[in-house]
This record gives sequence, structure tokens and C-alpha cells, in this order.
Amino acid sequence: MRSQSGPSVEGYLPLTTVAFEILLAASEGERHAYDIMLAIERRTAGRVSLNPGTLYRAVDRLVREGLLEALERRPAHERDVRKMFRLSRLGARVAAAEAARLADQVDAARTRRLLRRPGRA
Amino acid sequence: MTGRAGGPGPVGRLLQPLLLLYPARFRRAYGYEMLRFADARCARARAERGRAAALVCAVQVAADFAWNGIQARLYGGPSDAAPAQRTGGHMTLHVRTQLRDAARSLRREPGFAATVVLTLAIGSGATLALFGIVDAALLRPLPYPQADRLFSIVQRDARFGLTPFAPPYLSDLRERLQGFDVVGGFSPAWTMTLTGRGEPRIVTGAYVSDRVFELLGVEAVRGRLFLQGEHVEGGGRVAVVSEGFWEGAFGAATPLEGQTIRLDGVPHTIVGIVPQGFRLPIKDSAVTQGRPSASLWLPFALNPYATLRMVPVMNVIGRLRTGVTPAAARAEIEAVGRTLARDFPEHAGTLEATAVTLDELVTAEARPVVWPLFGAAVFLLLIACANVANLLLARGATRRHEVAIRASLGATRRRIVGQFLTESLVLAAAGCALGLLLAQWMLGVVPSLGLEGLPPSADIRLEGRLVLFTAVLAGLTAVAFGLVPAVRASGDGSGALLKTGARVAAGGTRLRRGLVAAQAALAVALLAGGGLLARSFLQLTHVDPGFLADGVLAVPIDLGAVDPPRRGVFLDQLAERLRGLPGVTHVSAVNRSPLSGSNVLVGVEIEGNPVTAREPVPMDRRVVTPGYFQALQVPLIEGREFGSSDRSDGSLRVAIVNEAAGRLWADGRAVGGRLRLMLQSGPGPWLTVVGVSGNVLHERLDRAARPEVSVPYSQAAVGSMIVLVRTRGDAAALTAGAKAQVWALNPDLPLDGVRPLAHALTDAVSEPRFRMWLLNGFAALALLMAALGIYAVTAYTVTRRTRDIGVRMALGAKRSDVLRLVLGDGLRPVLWGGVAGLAASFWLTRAIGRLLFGVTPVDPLTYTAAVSVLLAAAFLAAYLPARRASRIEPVIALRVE
Repeated sequence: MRSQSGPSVEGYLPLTTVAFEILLAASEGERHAYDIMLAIERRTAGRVSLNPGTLYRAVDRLVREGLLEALERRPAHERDVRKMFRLSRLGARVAAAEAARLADQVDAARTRRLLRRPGRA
Repeated sequence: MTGRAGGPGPVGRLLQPLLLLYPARFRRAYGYEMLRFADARCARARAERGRAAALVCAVQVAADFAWNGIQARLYGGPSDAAPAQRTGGHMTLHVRTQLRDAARSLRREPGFAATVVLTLAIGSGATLALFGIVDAALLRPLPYPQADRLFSIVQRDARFGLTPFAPPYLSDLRERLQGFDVVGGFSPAWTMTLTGRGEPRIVTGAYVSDRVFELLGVEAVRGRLFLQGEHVEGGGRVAVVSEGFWEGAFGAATPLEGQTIRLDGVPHTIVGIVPQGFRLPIKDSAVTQGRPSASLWLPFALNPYATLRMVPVMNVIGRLRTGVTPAAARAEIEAVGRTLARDFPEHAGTLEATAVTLDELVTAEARPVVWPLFGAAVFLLLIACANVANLLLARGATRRHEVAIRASLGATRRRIVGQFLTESLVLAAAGCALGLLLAQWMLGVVPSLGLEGLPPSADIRLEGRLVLFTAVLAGLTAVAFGLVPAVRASGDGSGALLKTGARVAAGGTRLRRGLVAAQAALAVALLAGGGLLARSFLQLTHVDPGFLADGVLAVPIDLGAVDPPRRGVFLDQLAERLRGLPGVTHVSAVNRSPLSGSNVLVGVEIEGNPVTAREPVPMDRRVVTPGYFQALQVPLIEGREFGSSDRSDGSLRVAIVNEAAGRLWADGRAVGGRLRLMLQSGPGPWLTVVGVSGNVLHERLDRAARPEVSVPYSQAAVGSMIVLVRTRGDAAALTAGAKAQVWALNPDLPLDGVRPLAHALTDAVSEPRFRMWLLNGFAALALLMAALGIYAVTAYTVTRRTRDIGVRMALGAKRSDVLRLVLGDGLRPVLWGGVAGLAASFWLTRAIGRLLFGVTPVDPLTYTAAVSVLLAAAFLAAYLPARRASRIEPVIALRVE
């Protein structure tokens, strides 16, 4: 039922913090959910640490929206198949648009002197 | 690093049921990986920050599982795989928004929120704490490898129940028992005097045979365990100590090699150190009660009774061979017992061997105490849940208007239900979190209470699955009863609800009354149980122990440091010195003081009684110095006390018996009769009875006095005595003076158990007192909660019926009519519940039958009191709103709404 003239990226914005963090983590390559959690923990220095329910529900939503692709992989040394996630083309565009949206807001905050130094992301 | 392959780990297994909250599609796609994720997360928390962190992690993950499961079901998108419709650009109704809404809504009614949270906290806290105890005492396997295959091999004695074996039987048992692959034995806890390292002090140790450490799976953390050669006579004086002992006596950093300690004056070489947590699977004996459990172990060959077939001091345990059933093992043990009785008729005449699992033996005493208390805690939790349900229902009903407005302004049903759900979950989570803290605190207190019958290795802690169980129960209550009104309200046509004076469906009222009745029933049962224990306790405190403890100071003296020939003189000199202290009227000494919980049993043959010649009568043997009965004010019914004329040098060997023993003489005339004691070395010399004393309760206040024989110290020296000093003043004030007198005679004597004898009496009722307070504490809380519930329902009814009451009064109803109407409505469910509770109590109180003393489980007085207390509380709870109703001004009431 979506308009097929290339999905409108703006319809997905704004992303929730969790969703954006997941897309960021997945942009680094194929990842398992646990690795996504670890990557987010590392990036935010532990400020954001996701529990499995929250993470999988968000991932599920992102997969259903086509922002993430789910793949099944069997690591060489393991018996079980593991579900890996990677950013889809659409996901990459949405993440970029969200980043631009945030950057715009940050710029606005800077010009109004709410934010001093060119801070870290 | 996502857990081990092949199934979820411990946390995952725990959480598995929560997956059912998720839509099936979701569960199939991610369920398994989520469990492994949870495992990995908690394993990491444990590795980095320890057990407590892992527990917190498990609780957090569980809450997260539950929360997201519900969210996924409510908003988790279609079960078809079509992309979700975007509404308003938001990916999800953010959890935080909902939480904020819930918090805002609850903050508007802080009283309501606080009541719900506290109610849940008390209910869940008590249940968690008690379950922690039940778990430690009864459910968790003993901390030994293959604990389910460890059996205690015991003798069944018609008089003493299950008893240990005499040490030499160990080799016989090993030879004859085929069903066990390892058999070993160890002594009860044994006190010894440690000298040479700081102040002399009493330490607790135990003697172990070879293979015991192996059976119990303990290994040395430093040094080694005993060698085979050290388990035979003359194998060397060696000891293994606990880590704590080592650190206390030598300091952790001291090298082990060649360190020795002096135990009862004899040097022992320490060869190894075992982990601090290691315990032998026995309850500490009465002698060592109140002292820390064994912290050092010696080879059994060093035990003074190691070679005697008369003295049962060895607890034998064995591990079942693979493939042998417990029944087969028991049959074999019984058969072996018969062959032993045949081969050693002089010693094992009554030997009947049997086996019980170690678990049974260790937990036998805890069962009757712990289960009823746990039952009480569960009752409290149920009452709490009923109360919360009631509060939520009442609040939900009053919010119908709000719901209707929101619905008419366009809030979806899902959104409204979601908000109710969030509020309920927030309340449940807060209540459980507070309950967890409460439970932690209570469990911190429990060990210091010395709950009777807790096995020695009991390590009380909160298990993850238990925390989860309580959280789920509280959560379900909150969710279920929080949702009922939301669904009901949001499902109605909103227009109808907005109309003024809309009536609330009667169904809700009936449910609330049912809950009140259930609370009343549970509260009556708890009150009845608490009342019975309180009456038992009162009875117990009125028992006459047969002696006067007030004003007596007990000074236990280990004579190990005094030369045996000089001990009698030492005691005489000490008595002389103590008599010189101001206020002291009597000084005497005894080997075991009354109600110290310890006794020395001995078989006694009574002259002229052929039955006792075949089978000696077991009696408590007491060794006393002259003036003992006078010092304790135990009446002499006949004959005389021991005097200075009763000496060892060829004078008449004498004894004094108590009334219970005196009855064993055919003509009832014990004085002048003769008896002899069956000692380790065989029958002792004939003793002439010179007196009959009153009965003294030596063991427990709730057991009748046993036959007892006393002999003078001068004719039967023992290694430790308790000097009893009677003063006209305060016994405790004498402590320092008495100690100084002992040390003036011998500075090497350890004196760490000096205390007024009256403390023994207090101790004897401390356990029943603790039980009584605990159960009555539960009962009081239950009563409070039930009263709150009754109040809430009645107050709610009054609010709802304000108009109705106004109309009645406008039509001429008197204030007393209104009062009667409201009170009747409020109290009727309490009456039904009370009657049901009473009926249940008749059956339930049987569970505490074994804890009762001097009162039957169906005591009418207690039952009447329980119902009266409940009714009084209920009346008060219903009266307050009823009075408010009776003061309604009709004119104002009719203007309402």
C-alpha cells in the first residue's frame, strides 16, 4: 500500500534513540543482536545498554519496515544457526536522513549558543 | 559469546515461559536467541560484578521480557508480515512516554499508589524471605557432590531414636556393606581448648575418618588432607583447619609448613586448609550450640573413644553404588545390622541399623517449623494480592468518567488499556522491588535468630526463580485487576458513560465483596494460628523448671589445663574464693547445667530389678559437688545431699536420683537402694542411693523430666564443670569478680561462657517466642490489610451511593438507618469470610500441632478470639465510611453530579 516511487525517507523520521543506535551499529557490517548491544554499549560508554526484549522488539520492527535485513548464518565453529542483521539500502538512507535531521538541530542549537564547542557526536 | 550451544542456560530457562507473552511469529523468529542473549548478559554481569549483580540482571531482563512481550502483542504490528502502517511518524508509542503518563497519573493519587506499593511490598517481601528459608532448609540439595546418593547409616534405638555408631563398627560396616562404594564416619562437633595463640579459647572441631572429605567433595585450598597413615592409631597428631581459622590464628600470609596448635594442651601439626564454607552434614550438638561451627578437623584415630564399642559417637555416611536402589541399600543395611547384633551381642544388643538420606536427616527438624511459617507468608501474599485487586478495581471504577472523556476525545481503546496496564505494571514493579529489599533485609536478620532445625550448611539466599515467581504473581494481579475496569470502561459506548449519574455495573461490586470475604477468611486462619502459638508460649513460660535460676551465675570451666589429680582441690579452692565475694550465698558445680541443652546419657542397672539387669534404664548422669541442690534450690524430697564425707578413698560410693528415677524402685523407696552405671569400660561399682531430689527440666521446657542420677565429683571426676554461684544480688554483676577469682588460681583457663543461669531459661523459650512473634506479625499485617480492604470497599460504596443515600434521607430515612445499611453492606462479606476461615482453621492448624504446647489445635478460646479480633477490626474499618454516609446532607447529596 506504500507509494512505490521510492519509499519516502521522511515518513520514517524521527527515529527513536534505540532505533537510530541499532542502525548505527548495523552500518558497520553484519551483526548479531548481542554484538549490536555490545557496540551500542561501547559507543555510548555504557549509557545505553539494551535488554534482549527491547532490542529484539526494535530489531523486529526495523526488519518489518525494511530498514534492516535479517540473514541466517552458521559460524564455522558453532552448531547453531545465528540470526545476523545488516543495514538495507533503505535503512542506510533513513539513517542518513535522521543524522542530517539531528545535525540540523544541533546546528540550530549552536547558532543559539545552547551548545558551545563543536562537541562530539 | 551468546551462551553455550544447545539450549538456553539457567537464566534463559527461567525466562522461557515469559516468551509466551510474545506473538507466535515473534517467538519463532527470535525466541531462542533472546534466551541465549539473556544468558550471556547475566553471565557477563556475574563475571564482572558478582552474584548479586547477576540476580539484578536476571530481574531486569525478566521485567524487560515481560514488558516488551506485552507491548509486542499490543502494538507489535500485524501477525501478517505486511509493513506496519506509519502513524504520525512515530515508530512506536515510546515506552518512556507511557511511563511518564503513568507516573503523572499515579502522582495525582499518592495515597492510593503508596498503599498498593506497600501492600505488595509487604506481601512479596514476607513470602520471598520465608521462601528463602524454606529453600535453604528443605528444598535445595545439600552442597555435596551426588547428595541424593548420600545416606546416613544409623542405629534405630527404641529409646533414643536414631543414634550414631560406636567408632569400631565403621570397619565392620565397610566390610559387610556391598551396596555402598564409599563409607566414612565423623564425630559430632567437639569442643577443645586452644592455647598458645593469644588468649586461651574454646574452639569447635570434629573427628573424621578416612574418605569423609572425599565423600563430601572437599579439597584442600592449601597443603593437603589427611594421609591414610594418619587415620590409624599412632599416625601422628595432625589437623586440618578452615580458612577462617587459619587467618584468625596465623594470618592469611603465613606459610603453612610446620605450624602447630595446642589443642587441650597437646600440639597438633596443621597439614592443610579447607575452604571456609565447608561444613559436615550434621546439626551442631548441644554442647557446641551458640558457638561457631567446626573450624578444624582431626583424624578419627585421635578421638578418645575411637576404639570403644560402647560409645556411639560416629555418624556414618555412605554413597550408594551406581545401580543400587535406596530400598535395596536399606534392606542390606538392616541385614548387616542383624549380623552385627549377632557378632557383638554384648555391645550391639539393641542394634538395628537403617539408612535415611542425608537430606531427610538434616532437614527433619526444620520441616515442622518452616512449612507452617511459609504457609503463613503465602497467605499474606494472597491477602496482599486480594487487597491490591480491590484497590485497583475501586480506582478503575471511579475513573470511568475520565476514560469516557478520553475516549470521546479520540483516544483508542488500545491506548487507554495500555495506560491502565502501564500504571499497574509500574505499581507491581515498585511493590516487588521494595519487597525484594525487605526480603533481603529480613534474610540478613534470620541467621542471628538461630532458627531451630536449620541444617548446618544452610546458606540462605534469594533464588532467581523465586524472585521471578513473586514478581509474576504480583504483576499478574496488578495487570489482571488493573485491566478489568479499563477494558470494561473503554468497551462501553462512551456517550452513555458521560451521562450524569451513570450506574456502575453490579458485577464489580460482587467481585470486590468476594475479595473481601477471601481476605477475611485468610486473616482468620492466620489469627487462629498466631493465637495458638501465643497461648503455647504463655503456657511454656509458666512451666516450673524445678530449679530457681534467678541470682545464679554459671561459670563454665574447662579443667583441661589443670592436672587431673589436682582438679578436685582446684574446685574446692575456687568455691572457697567465690564464697568470699560479697553477696554470694552458695557455690557448687555440675558437669551439665540445667537447660543448657546437653546431657550425658548412661545406662543404669537397679539392684533387685531383673529387667534393668538385662536392659539398663537410660538416665541423665550428673556429676555434682556438695551443695548443688541447695544452690539451685532443688528440693530434696528424701535423704541427704552429698557432703565432704563422700570421698574417693574407700568411703561409701553414693548417688542421688530424681523423682522420675525414684519411681523405678519397686516399693518406691529409692533411698538405701543400690544402682550401678554401665560405663564405657563396663559396669561400674554399685552406688548407694542417699537422696531423692525433685525433678529438674534439663532438656527442654516442653518435655517431661527424665530419670536422672547424680554422683559426687569426688567419686567421678570429669574434665569440665560449670561452677554455679548464687548471690543475693544481680548475677550478671558478679561476672567480672568471678572471672578474676578463677584467673587468680589459674590464668590459663578459658572463660568465655560465663553468664547468668536465667539466660538458659530465656533461651529455652526463645525459639517458640520467635515463632510466635513471626506468625502473629503475619497475622497483624493480614488483619491490617483486610481492614484496609474493607475500608476501601465500604468507602467506595458510600461514594457511589451518595445520591441513593441522599434520596433515602430526603424520603425520611434516619441517620441510624443509613449507618445500619452501610455497616451491614460492609460487614456481610466479612462474616461469610470469617466463617469460611474458621472452618479452614480447624484443618489448617493441624499443621502446627507439633509446635503447640499445652493447647490443642482446635482451642475454642483462640478461635473465638481470632474471629472477634477480625470482626472488631472490620467494624472499625466499615464504621468510618458508614458514619460519613450517615452525615450526608440530602440537599447536598442530591446536587452531587
